[in-house]
Amino acid sequence: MMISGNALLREIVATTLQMAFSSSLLALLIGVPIGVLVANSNFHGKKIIVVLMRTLMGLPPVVVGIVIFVLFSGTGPFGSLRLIYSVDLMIIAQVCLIFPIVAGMTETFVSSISSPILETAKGLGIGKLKTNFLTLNESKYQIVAIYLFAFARAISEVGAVQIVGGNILHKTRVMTTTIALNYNTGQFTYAIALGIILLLIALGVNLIASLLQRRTK
Amino acid sequence: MILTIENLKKQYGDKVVLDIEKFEFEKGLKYAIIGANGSGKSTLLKILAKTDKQSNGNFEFEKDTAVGFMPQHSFGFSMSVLNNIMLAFPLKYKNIAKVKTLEILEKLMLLPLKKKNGAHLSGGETERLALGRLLSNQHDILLLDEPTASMDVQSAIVAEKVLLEYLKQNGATLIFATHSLKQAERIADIIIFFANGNLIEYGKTKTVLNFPTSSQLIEFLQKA
Ligand SMILES: Nc1ncnc2c1ncn2[C@@H]1O[C@H](COP(=O)(O)OP(=O)(O)OP(=O)(O)O)[C@@H](O)[C@H]1O
Ligand SMILES: [Mg+2]
Repeated sequence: MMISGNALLREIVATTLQMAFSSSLLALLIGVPIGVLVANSNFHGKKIIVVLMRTLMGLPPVVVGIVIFVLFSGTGPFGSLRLIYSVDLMIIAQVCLIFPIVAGMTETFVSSISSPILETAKGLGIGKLKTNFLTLNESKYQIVAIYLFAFARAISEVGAVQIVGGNILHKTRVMTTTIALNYNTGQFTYAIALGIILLLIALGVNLIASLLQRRTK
Repeated sequence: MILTIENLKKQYGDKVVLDIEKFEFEKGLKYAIIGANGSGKSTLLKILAKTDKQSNGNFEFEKDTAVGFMPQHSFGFSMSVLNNIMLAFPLKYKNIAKVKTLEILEKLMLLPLKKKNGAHLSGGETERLALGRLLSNQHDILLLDEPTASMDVQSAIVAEKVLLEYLKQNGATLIFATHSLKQAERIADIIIFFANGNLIEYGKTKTVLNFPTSSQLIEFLQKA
């Protein structure tokens, strides 16, 4: 019983980590370039885009979950992809949820530091693409922090993954959905134990990140 | 004329901070812009460098003029001093970048700092770095906003020497803002005096400094 319990726990933790690392990394890869580009360019309607980005940062996970569910369910436009109730779709839902946060945080930070960078680069005749990379380089430290936030959001999120993943045992069950299930069935001790493991994982990731940050300083 | 300015105006709300009717810059000459804090020196240079936009009016560089600009606040990128300069080279000059970089570092006494992080330099060191970075490439006109303001006396003299050498080699034109009348006297062919965003007086350096005509410039020079 104990052994199978441990095996199950390991499986759930593994699925959780796979999901959280994938979705936070993808959200970073999509969100950071958007944030840098918006911050560094001047175009008509930029203010509207920024407001939109900041609004999307507050997307409720449940709503994202429902929308993705509808899009990918059997009768939805992407139904033929057969992704419903899969870890892949959980990742897609989380990326939708998290990349606007990454983009918004990146835009806010880059806007606060960009003016001397843009001025200097322009004065040297450096092109836009290279200027964006230079800006990125100046933002390394902050981007690690933004990544941590994205990861924390991914690993602790339950609303969207519950809906599109369905909390299926041995397939899409992750720590948060297990905790919710245990709570519903009254197994509080197990729920809290899982919560503590989740926190420990977050702590581990944070420790690695702060080592990384120290090297970028 | 390498640069012509016409009815150039900049305002924030109702406040006009720059208003120049017409001015022409002659190729190969060195122009110093002097004037009190807030008189519009940086505003003009930033507009000419296209890091800021005028509210009205126009300016035009001669065709194919390569413009180099050094902002008032120099910036060191967070990478080595060496890479800070290397990054200024376009890809096609990659093969000569290292040699040229070491050369300019040597000239500006930055060689001992070449491995240091550019974001961790002192004010004067950052200024030397920014100047070196700009001078490592060819420009037809340089716009320098108080390029030696944070440098110690010796560094400033060295920087001036390197700058003059560059101008001579490239036949480049110089427009720089400065609070040092001595520096303007040492470098400039023409001095332009600004007050409250207006171009009050200009002329040959010695003439402007020794025989000012406007009451504003006379007062400015007396206080200096
Ligand atoms: N973003 C801004 N918003 C409002 N006013 C501004 C802004 N930027 C500059 N100004 C004003 O424009 C005027 C001209 O500023 P500018 O920086 O050109 O002066 P300066 O001659 O370079 O002064 P300094 O010798 O101090 O460098 C100042 O009165 C300044 O307060
Ligand atoms: Mg200024």
